[in-house]
Amino acid sequence: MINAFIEIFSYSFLTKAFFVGIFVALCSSLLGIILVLKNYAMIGDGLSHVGFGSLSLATFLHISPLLFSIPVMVVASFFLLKMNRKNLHGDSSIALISMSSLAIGILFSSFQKGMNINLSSYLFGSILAVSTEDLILSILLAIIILIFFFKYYFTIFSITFDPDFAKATGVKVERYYMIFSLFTALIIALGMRIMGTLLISSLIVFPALTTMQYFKSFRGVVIGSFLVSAFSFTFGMVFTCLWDIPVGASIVLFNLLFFLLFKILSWKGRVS
Amino acid sequence: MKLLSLEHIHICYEKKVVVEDVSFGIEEGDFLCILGENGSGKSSLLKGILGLIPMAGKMQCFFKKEEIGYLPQFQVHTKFPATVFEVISSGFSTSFLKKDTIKKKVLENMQRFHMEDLRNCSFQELSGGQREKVLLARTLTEQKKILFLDEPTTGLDPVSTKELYQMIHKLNQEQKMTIVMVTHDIDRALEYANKILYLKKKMLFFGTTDQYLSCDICENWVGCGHD
Repeated sequence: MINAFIEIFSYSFLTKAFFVGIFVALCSSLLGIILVLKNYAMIGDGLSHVGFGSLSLATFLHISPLLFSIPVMVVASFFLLKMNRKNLHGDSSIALISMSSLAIGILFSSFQKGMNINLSSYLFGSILAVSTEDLILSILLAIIILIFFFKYYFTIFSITFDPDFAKATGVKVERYYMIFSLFTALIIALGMRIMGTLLISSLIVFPALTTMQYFKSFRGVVIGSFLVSAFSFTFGMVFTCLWDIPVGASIVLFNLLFFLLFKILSWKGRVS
Repeated sequence: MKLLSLEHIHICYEKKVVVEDVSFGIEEGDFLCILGENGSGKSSLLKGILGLIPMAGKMQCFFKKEEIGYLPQFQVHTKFPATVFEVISSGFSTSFLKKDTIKKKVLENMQRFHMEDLRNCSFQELSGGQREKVLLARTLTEQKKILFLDEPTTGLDPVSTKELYQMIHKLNQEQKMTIVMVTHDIDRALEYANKILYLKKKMLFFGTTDQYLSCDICENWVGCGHD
């Protein structure tokens, strides 16, 4: 297994995929804590479907998929957030947008001869699809998100825990929500190449849900999610190389394994 | 000295008027209780003053945003992972103090509220009374001039309710902190407040506690069976 891990770094495409993936996974785990605690976790799922629709359209129009899908997803993320906060049927509005985007994606992919390889890799994920452009973008984004998260740690906690209190004490809560949705859109746009649009939201949801079962402090959940995300991604990549299995599915299954492990730990904790 | 002045305040919520033409003022050191039945616009008025919801009318504040303390009507996320220390620390979210200074101040505040033992306890596992105490400690991390409280004793047992009122009364008397509290607890309001505002969408009464006791609204409300 260690050999397989070392082997990743002997191929440039695997090295690129590893670093893009790990940065995306780490940032998703931090954003996931906020989204899960605010009940906005489905926004990630909605955005990934929007991503599929926009990628399909971009392929049909022969324009750069990433350059086209990023602005579309950013606009969609603001829209989803607004609908989720204002509309009483928040989840239903996400489902509406998800399904419409999926339909657009399927429609435009059907206009092309056969199932396009690019679209297939976007749906199910591929380590071959990662470019140097993705790597630079993911490094930049990871630096920005990590600095933002640790610089405004207390404020982010306050907004997540009690937004009314934060707002009353002068925090621009709406501005922070916009930043969170912007980051989520960018992270999903970058990550869906590796994970696939169908599984990318798992990077957001799994680590937070896993660690919240066991840790009772916000700090514990932040550190725990960070580690769970890093290990799940690394193990997922290694097993992909070892057994030639789809990378997205492999990472999600390791996340599931950690989830079950923490479930057992929390049961044991309660019993003792 | 005047601290807050409101003139002809109107608040609409989801195309419905919830507060209509309310005008009153608060002096420094006042303890004002806002009374009224459910849905009378009490909490909306408080949120409007704090800028949490839009309102129309003229409002003059003679204090800074940082001098506001706020204890919201709080419904904690049942599974929110947070320790008591973290919750109180969040009172410093707008502060530019260094991490070590914040830590020191949080510990001092915990001592002030006699909750040093609860430092690493999970907030979700505390009793209702303890939670309110922690939230009050979070609100009062720094020197505040005016404290807004939105039904802070909802769901508390009589002992915790009494303890919380005494704590707020102490802040008002000893630190001369101005208190604005939304409550249903008319007996406690009459015991601790020096001013009463009675709201039923419109302002039906505003004056001192003594004036309130001799007016018709007081008799009607007590007569309706409210506690």
